[in-house]
Amino acid sequence: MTKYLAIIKDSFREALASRVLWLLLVLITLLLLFIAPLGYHEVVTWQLGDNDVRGWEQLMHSVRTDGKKNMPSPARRIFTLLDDKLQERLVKVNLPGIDDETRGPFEFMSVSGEFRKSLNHAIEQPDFYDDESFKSVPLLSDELRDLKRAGPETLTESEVGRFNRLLLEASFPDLVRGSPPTSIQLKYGWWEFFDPFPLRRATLQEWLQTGASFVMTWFVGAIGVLVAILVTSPIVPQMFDTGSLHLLLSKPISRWLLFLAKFVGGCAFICICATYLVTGLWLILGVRFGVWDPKLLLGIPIYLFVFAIYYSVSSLCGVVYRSPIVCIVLTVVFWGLCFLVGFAKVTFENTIWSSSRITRVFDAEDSVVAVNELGVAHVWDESTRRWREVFATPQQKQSRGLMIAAPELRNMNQPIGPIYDQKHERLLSAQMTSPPPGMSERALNVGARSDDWEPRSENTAPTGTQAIFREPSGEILLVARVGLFRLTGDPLEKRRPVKLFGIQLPLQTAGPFENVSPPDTNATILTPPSAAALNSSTGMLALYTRGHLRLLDHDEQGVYAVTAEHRLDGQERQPVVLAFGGSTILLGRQDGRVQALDAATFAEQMSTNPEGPNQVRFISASPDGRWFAVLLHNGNLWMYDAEAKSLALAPIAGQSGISCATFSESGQLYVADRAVRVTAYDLPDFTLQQRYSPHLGVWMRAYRYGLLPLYTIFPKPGELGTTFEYFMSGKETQATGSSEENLSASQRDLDPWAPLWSSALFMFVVLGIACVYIEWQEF
Amino acid sequence: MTQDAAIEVRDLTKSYRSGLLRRRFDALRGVSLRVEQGEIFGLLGPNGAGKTTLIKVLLGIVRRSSGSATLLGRSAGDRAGRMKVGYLPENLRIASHHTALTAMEYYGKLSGLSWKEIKAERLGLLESVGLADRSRESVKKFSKGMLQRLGLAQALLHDPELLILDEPTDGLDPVGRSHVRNVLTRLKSQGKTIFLNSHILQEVELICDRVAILDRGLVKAVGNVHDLATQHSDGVELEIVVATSEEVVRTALGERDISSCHVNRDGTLRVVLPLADQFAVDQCIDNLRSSGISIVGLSRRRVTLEDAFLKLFAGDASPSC
Repeated sequence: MTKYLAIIKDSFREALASRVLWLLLVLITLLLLFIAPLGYHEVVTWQLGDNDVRGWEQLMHSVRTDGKKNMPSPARRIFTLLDDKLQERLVKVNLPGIDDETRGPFEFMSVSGEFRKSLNHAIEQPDFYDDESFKSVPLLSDELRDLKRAGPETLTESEVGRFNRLLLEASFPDLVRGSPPTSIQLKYGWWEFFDPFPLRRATLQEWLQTGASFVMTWFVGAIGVLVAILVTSPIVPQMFDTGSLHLLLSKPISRWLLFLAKFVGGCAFICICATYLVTGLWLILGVRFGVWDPKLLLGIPIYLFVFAIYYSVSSLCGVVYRSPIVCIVLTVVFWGLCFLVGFAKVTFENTIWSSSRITRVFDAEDSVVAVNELGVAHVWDESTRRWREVFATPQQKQSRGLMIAAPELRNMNQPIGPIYDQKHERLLSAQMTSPPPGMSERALNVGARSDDWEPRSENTAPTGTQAIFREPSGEILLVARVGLFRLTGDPLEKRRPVKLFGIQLPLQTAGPFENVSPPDTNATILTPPSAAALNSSTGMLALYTRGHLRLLDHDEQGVYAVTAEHRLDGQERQPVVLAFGGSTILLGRQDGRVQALDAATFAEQMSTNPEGPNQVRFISASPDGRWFAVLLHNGNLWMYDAEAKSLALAPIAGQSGISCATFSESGQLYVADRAVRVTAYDLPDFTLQQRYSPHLGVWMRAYRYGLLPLYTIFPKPGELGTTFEYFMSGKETQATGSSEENLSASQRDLDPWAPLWSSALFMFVVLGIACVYIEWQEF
Repeated sequence: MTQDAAIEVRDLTKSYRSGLLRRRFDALRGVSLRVEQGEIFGLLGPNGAGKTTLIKVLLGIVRRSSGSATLLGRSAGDRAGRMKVGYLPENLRIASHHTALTAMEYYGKLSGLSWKEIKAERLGLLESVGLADRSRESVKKFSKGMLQRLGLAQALLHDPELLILDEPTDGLDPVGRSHVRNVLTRLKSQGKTIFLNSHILQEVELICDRVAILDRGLVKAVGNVHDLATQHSDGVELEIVVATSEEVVRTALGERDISSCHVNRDGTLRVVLPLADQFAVDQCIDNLRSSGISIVGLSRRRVTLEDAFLKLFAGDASPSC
């Protein structure tokens, strides 16, 4: 073995003698020196940054509208604190999307910049708060309540800012984003740059890991690998120089081991570069940011592996053609092929495949309705064995192309529902009409069976509608940000909406809804992150908002009242998914936990992480409350048995590719996999009852039977970056920016293992061919 | 118990196929020879005779088509057999990142030596080939001759029983050649076997005990250097310096052939005569003396290996080694 180690050692010696290596090491040093002064410190979050307000024009509109009235309100309070000149400018300025005539963006930009500055100045002042102006503001946040209890006069300067910021968030929950208590102020040396980021340290750590992953993907994974291929391409061909090869072959060594040792030694170049860069980054993150994460060092073997895949191709070409130029050209062609196959697969998957993926299935009498990732409903047509698109609103049709092309927009444009209204044999959904920033106005769409589910809309859903349920009585209940509303009238009868401060009010008289909120309206105000679930047998409602879980039951008049409340452990601003069945509430937590609570006592019946930090996407409860289908973002389905209080992986086919699991009225489990296939199982034995497996279209067939098998066997060196991200986070999927507050929003699939095994297999085959060739070839 | 031959080759054939039509080319067509342990054996032959192919077969670099070949009693190409062989290839190339010392370390390790053994031997060997004072220099700065000497040093590092040297003095200046000759002579005195492939026939004649001459994949001649030279010559050449004119000499010798005849600066005449044997020599001198010609100088020219080689390939078009 020492003979082969000598060859590897010689390769390191050769790499160190290379001027290109030293040049790269100098460049890496410069990069590390450039990054090294980056640091941060934590500051109390109070200032409003540009991104902290979802729509500045909406906020400015509210402030100037209320400012003219004599009625005390938060908006008026802000208006009074502005100087006269700004008040005047604010009244006169044309706000885009609100005023009909827009004089030009520059005036608005100038006024909004000054408004932000003045607002930040105002919330820095201890006299910002007055009881009269803020008396109607619900103090939902524990932090805000604590600060108010302490008394604004006793607060320190930064606490005053924080208190006022929280007041703003509570006053304008649709407009001002919620914020963590502390923010991250980035600095470069002593220079503080950008506004403080409203991030927690843990989030910063994730960001830094992503940043480190980015640096490594590009500096090691792309540039480093390319340079290394150029530098190392002559190693194997040089071995075949007559004067060199014959001497080597005359030594008492095995040919194929000689080749493999040369191959391993050829990786020395990238090994030195990657080790230097990754260790440098790790030290900087540790010393400057306090992030001592040894997993970062996994970047070294992973990017070495990326290089090894390309280098195996280069080496095989070197053995066969013995020309460095041919090695480089063929390796680049191979890189292009890998890129092409990967790109085609990702494009198909993100567009055609994932947009068709079924995420909800429900019965509409004798019809089975499936809703896909775009929120478009389809009815199963047995005669053609296809899912037939129904109930697609004009907005959905218009935005379909955009949503297919940009998956991150899907989460924002998803409709609420549809749901089947059994009494009136119609589908109902609340669909965003147009997406003005900060507004959550949704049209109430109705599609009657008699009308072939054609959607019609004459009314809007209550402001901030978050969920639609069918109560056991068959009534339709809408859970909105500001209360609970039962659909009592005809949704297709046009009513004149009442607007207050530009926001449409969901008043009883203003639409077909009856307000069935509890008398204490604060109890049902939902601020993000929030979630709601209805117990389909008892009609009880579970509402979650900002760390608090409340149970509501309705009286004989159908008005809901809070019956119990429970504060979940952990941070206040954590998203959850939940389902309510029987006497059990099952929660999916941000950290990947699945937690079962007794609905009567909130006692924890079970708590486990079924798959580490992988998060739950959907939970559905069976009508009898015994079974809960827990679907993870990675496509694995777990079943919770409330009787046995146990969670187990469902013994069904298609695991890891499941996109939906829900229960029918009769208690059958509907499972969607392969994007468009739905299977109905009987519980508890998981007996297959029915399968809705449509004929695939040309593109879907091309993807499933052409591209996917090709992609599966093809090496994926370009995707090992996702494997690195997986090792860093431990999650097989990753939330996109817009879906961080909503666990049910689709996440980017990291698919960490496929690139590893397929690339390793490919490399094994390529090196095997090279070994056989070199063993049998005569030189 | 008889000692194994250092190299034994019997009816060895090797065919290559090349080109699109996979045309067959026979590089060796039934070579048989035996090299005893402790001797220096020279392999001669014109270009394309199959010398390098024979070495490649012996070292296992290519596989034989038929026949047998053994090295120190082991089948040719056997890894254990190669442990005992030191090899210096023709046109040796050593990677440019090496110095003489690191190259010795690298090839020593490949020969199965430990670092301690390498360290103990390498400087002495470099000194013996005249490279000790440049041992820390990059081989990039080495001339071809220096590389050859370094190659020889690495071939000797693991103290092999058999040395296979392909053109060891190629590119060396006279001093370098002398160095190599001395090393080889010393190795012979240590009982090492040396298998030498060289086209410098004088070199081979000086060093080798026995030679084999290959021609188009066949052994044309094999044997002791002196025997080969005499066996493959036409007799003797006599050079006579006389103090008379060419006409007188021709008259005295009658119809006998004269190879060359020219007048020296001092006025004497130099005559070269090709003669069949010693009897003809005696007769020729008697004729000159009986004609009263005074013989100023007389010498008998030795027949060289080159003469024998050229004689062997006399019918072929301009053979070269």
